[in-house]
Amino acid sequence: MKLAGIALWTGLLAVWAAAIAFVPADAAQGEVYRIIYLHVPSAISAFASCFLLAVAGVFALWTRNQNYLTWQRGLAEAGLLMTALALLTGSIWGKPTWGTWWTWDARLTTTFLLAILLAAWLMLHGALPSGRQRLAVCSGLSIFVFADVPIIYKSVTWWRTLHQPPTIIRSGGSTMAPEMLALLVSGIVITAAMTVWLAWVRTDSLKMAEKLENQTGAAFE
Amino acid sequence: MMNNFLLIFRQTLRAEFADRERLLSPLLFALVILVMLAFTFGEPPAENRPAAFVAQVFLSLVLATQTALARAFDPEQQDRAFDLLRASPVDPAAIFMAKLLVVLLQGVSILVPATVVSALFCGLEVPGAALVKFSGLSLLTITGLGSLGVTLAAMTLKAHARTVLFPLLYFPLATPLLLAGTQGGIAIISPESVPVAGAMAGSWVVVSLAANTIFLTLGILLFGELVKSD
Amino acid sequence: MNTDPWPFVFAAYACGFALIGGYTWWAVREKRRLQKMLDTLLDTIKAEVTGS
Repeated sequence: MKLAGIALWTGLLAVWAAAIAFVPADAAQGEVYRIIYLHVPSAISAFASCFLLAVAGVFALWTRNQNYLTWQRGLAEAGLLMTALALLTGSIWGKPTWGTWWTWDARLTTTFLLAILLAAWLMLHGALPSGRQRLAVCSGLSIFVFADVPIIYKSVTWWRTLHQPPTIIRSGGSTMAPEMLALLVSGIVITAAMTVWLAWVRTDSLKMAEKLENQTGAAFE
Repeated sequence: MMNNFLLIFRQTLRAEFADRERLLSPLLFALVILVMLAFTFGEPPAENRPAAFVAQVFLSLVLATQTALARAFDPEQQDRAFDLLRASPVDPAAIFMAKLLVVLLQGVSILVPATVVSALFCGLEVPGAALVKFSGLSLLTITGLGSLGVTLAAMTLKAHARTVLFPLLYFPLATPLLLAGTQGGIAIISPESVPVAGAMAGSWVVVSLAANTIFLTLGILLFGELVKSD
Repeated sequence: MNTDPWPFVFAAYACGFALIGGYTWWAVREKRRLQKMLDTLLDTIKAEVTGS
């Protein structure tokens, strides 16, 4: 676990360094587009953790194994971190490109709502006594959130959209230069792996806290 | 299944009517919200009236149903009927459907006066055909809000601080329903202000239907698990 | 583009470093703390069992 953490951090810092110093500037947006290597990976990691949350929720309901609930807690925390980062970097990127810190763009709005929902998930988890019912309720909520996010996204898109169209996947090939695309994909992979690693560390801690609670009866979280 | 459902429905309805405060407070709350909106936004200019009307109706609906939904299981909680209900071999889906139907009735009892009062406040005369379509869309919204709300009420039943937690989950998750209701509503009420209004309204109905389907399916599937006792 | 883009780029990456770094630091520290407590507890239990 420790080695994985060091490797991930090295990789992440390498990607960031390359993003700031080595890749060429974008033809249309200039230097400011370099935020993409942080913004897009964090946003994708946030939504990926929402997906994993639902997967763990299904397993939890299926097997009744409390470990899956602990994993959900870790994923919700790491996912919340990534949504916060995606929102912050999106806002910082928005100022020089759109001239405003915030627009009611579909992706930004959906990420914002996802952040609220993940925070609410964590609050609900904390507000319920541990046991079978907490497992069912929190897992159910994970599935609910995951199922709702796509329609939230669709409805906000129709409501209004200002965001640039997706640049990575597009019919008729990608619009990005190969080295830029390679760096972006590595950024996405490493950030997503980092999210899972953070969730793993937290899950481990939470399991230990639970053990201590069972032994002593005091709260350790 | 059907007998169980009717039995629980009748029992829930009786519990609801036994306490007049429970039945009336969401409605009064909706009216208070309408007045507050008028105070805070002032009188809308003529061209914004349809949008203001639609916004008022749905905002008061979402906020008022929240107060009703957050307390959806209170009567059963008080006399421990809920524990008995859970222990009985009744299909949880029947409990869910009965609760949903009660919420729908409550929602309609909020919606009708809210629509009338809001139209009066905005000085808007809505043509009959548009009103029928608008009512259909509103009903669809209430059904979705109901399935979502009953499920969330069951989820937050045992949580402390549920008065905060319920709206925190309910409002963000209800986003598609609210957007579909308001945007579709504007396309119906003032078609001249929206390009391709007919198709637009249709698309929003589809969004609302999709949200309805997801909330209802998940609600029925999960409800049994949610209310099972430890 | 009239504004200088670099402050925005650096601000964004500083945010990323602060958030992910801060969370990593806290999570690892928390894990070590709990691990230590758990080890102490297990040692006490072991001592009690062998002592009695």
